[in-house]
Amino acid sequence: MQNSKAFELPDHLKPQFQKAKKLEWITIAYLFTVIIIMYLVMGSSQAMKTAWLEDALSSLPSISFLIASGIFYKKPNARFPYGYHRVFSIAFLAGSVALFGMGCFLLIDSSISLIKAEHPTIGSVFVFGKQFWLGWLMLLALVYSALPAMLLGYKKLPIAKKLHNKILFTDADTQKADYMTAFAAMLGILGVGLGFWWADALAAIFISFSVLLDGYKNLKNAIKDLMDRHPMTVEREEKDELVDKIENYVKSWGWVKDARARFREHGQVYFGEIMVITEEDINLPNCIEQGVKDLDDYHWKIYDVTLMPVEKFPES
Amino acid sequence: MYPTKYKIVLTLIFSLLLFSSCNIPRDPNKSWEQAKKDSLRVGIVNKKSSSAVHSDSLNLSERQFIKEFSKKNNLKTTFIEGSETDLIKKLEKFELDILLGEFDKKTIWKSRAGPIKSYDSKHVFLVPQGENKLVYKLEKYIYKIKKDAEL
Repeated sequence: MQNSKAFELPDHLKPQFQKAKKLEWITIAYLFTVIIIMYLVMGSSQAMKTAWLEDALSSLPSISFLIASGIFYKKPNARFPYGYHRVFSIAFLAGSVALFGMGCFLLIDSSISLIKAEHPTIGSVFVFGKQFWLGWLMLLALVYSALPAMLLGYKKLPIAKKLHNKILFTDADTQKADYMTAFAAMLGILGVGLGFWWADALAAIFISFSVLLDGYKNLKNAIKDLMDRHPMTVEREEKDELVDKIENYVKSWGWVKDARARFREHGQVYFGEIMVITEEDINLPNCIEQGVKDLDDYHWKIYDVTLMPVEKFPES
Repeated sequence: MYPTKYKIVLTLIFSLLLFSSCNIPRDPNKSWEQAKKDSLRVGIVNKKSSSAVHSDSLNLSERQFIKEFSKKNNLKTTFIEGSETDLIKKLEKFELDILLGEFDKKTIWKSRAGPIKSYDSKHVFLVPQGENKLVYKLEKYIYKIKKDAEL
């Protein structure tokens, strides 16, 4: 119960967090232009429709991140005694559900389009009296939807790792791979241009799969995080070694015979308990108080720890 | 930088684009080629478009318009008359290349045929879905006629 103050990131991470927020604002503004441009040139292409919806959906993590970043730091109160850190996990879950649901819809919609053998009719536009097949404009729009997104993704990725922020990481990772969807849609449009009507629906199915897979992966992780699993690293989905390190750190204290740590993720930070078997003849309240203080300074991610003296560990 | 496999894929795509760009778009069912070789099969709904229907910008009936279009592109034209439902079915089976019937831009047949750009901002011709070369040629002619009418 030691954290009654508002959460603050360590000084070295504050500029990173500000940078992340700036990048997310840029992402939203950029995606807004992408959504409009794609809508204008979409025509009756199923691949374009799918890529357009995918782009529209990809703004969700950015929006979620920005909303959550205005809430997570608030200090705990009587109604929310653990603070507001889980707002990131909730935003992550909401974004994943949307992505997964839309992936399912797009997959069904694109499959129906293929089964019904829908031949996309793509007309033309006239610019200064010159006729252009709309497919060419679609290709340009797709390039615009992919290249800046990739750049933004690469810029956000290292920041997400440093901040241990899963929404930011998912957003960056998806954007980094956005060229794949744009590339698939481009092949679909080119296929239609070359007279292969099925290329459009096939590209749309490929894109739907990628949306569905991303949605499934994120949904699985979001649920597991909310199920209080062991903290995981954002980039590799491996157990975070910090928990073992902190356990060993506590074991190294002179008044501690043995220790066992258990942590869970609350958004960017970890909450948990460390059970300790203590030496005899010590001033336990003082030791515990000092221990909690030391843990507070150990790592910024270790945010709320309960040190619990026990005679023996419960059997696991 | 990019790995070699990406470079190869990109080079292949750009070469493909370069070689084929002059002949894009194409028709999956080769409607335009068939029209060039045999004739342009035009459906007319209940003789509706055979009467002189004048739009604001086009001083041509739909039938006359298509005749002019065929003449310009050295195509023979075959007109087939019938009911709207029958002709739509023929269009879906690629037995017709164009359907005339003063169809509104928001025609209910939109999902079963490929409407092209309106010739008078209200009405459209219908073509088989996905026959993009034919659409390209027709839209080019519509644009030209509209421009000429403006002058």
